[in-house]
Amino acid sequence: MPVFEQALSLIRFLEVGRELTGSGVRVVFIDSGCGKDLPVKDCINLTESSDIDTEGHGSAVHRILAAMLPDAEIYMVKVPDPLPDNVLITALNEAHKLMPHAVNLSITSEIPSDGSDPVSVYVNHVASRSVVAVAAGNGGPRMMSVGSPAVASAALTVGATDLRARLWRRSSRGPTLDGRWKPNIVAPTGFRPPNMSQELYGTSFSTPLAAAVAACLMKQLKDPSTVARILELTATPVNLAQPTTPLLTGLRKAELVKKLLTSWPRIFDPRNLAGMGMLNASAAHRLTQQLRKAFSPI
Amino acid sequence: MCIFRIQRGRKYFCGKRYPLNCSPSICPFGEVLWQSLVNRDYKPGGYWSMPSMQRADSPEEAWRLLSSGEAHYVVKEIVFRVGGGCRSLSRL
Repeated sequence: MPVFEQALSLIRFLEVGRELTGSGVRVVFIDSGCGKDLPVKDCINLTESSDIDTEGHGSAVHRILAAMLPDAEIYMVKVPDPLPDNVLITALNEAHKLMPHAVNLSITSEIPSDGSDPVSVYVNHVASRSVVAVAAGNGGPRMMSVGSPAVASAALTVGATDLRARLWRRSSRGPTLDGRWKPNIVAPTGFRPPNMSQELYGTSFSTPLAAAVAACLMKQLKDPSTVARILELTATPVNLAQPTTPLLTGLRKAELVKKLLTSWPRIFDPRNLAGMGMLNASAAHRLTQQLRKAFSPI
Repeated sequence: MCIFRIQRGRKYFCGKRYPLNCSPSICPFGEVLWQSLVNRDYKPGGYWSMPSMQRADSPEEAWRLLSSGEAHYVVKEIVFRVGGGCRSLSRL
């Protein structure tokens, strides 16, 4: 089985792939550029270089979205790397203007935040109209390695598992600085996107899997917070084989670690590792249809 | 790294608890987390006055915005990475 289909099978997308083709769905991804011969409706370029990705990151994200949603309108906002927060806010604003069903944000930092930094605040603003899928980051197995903008309370923060559905070691962990658990869900990484010769590792490549499913559900329900909640509630449990020993950078003194563990019990919450579990596209789609039937006017 | 710990002259103040100096006893995240947050620091290129989301170029300007009541709290600039820490593996 090609490795990408293995990832799709893990999130049960193959069962509903014929229904969730992305017809009438609009997705924006903010990244380092778009793939060379992949469908893109429009590019908004915030750099001085060409729209085409030269770093390999944006084109991989684009390839995943295009493979999952062949009928969708895909837009891209190209940003520089490293990316100052004011440019990221501009990019989010450009994405917001397009009124997409979902925004894919495979952009991370490991700077701890309580969600009151400007980018997290702006992500919450965009998430009032679209589902914003944000990569949790690759700072694991350290606890509290999830940073802005993944800490935004309204973001759908996506962690990573390997192709055996075990938590990926380097997927960033919660809690946030103010004690909320993150990520919200996990999706596979370590697969080879279609027409690529490399296996890609990182929460950046788990995020478009969740963004694609979320965009399709968003088209049906038109409420980002409900869509995010459906994805959480239908997620399947993940094997947390690794010990949940909290590791904290900077807390080199055993005394401090001991103090934190006794004074901050929320650090033991298993949702800080894999959120509510593995994305389940089939169950989420079924539940969405049930909800639509239940609330549709007679 | 703390996004709220702002250096002004030789002193540090808490961008979230103006006009108090940064110290474990006033840290909004508690004494124990304070230690891990201040162990490493970074010098930002700018500051954000919140919730109006205005830019301030210096800690003095950030202080002025707080003292005049224009800002409720001040945050340091963050620089993000596009897919920071991702890797790819080629298979023959």
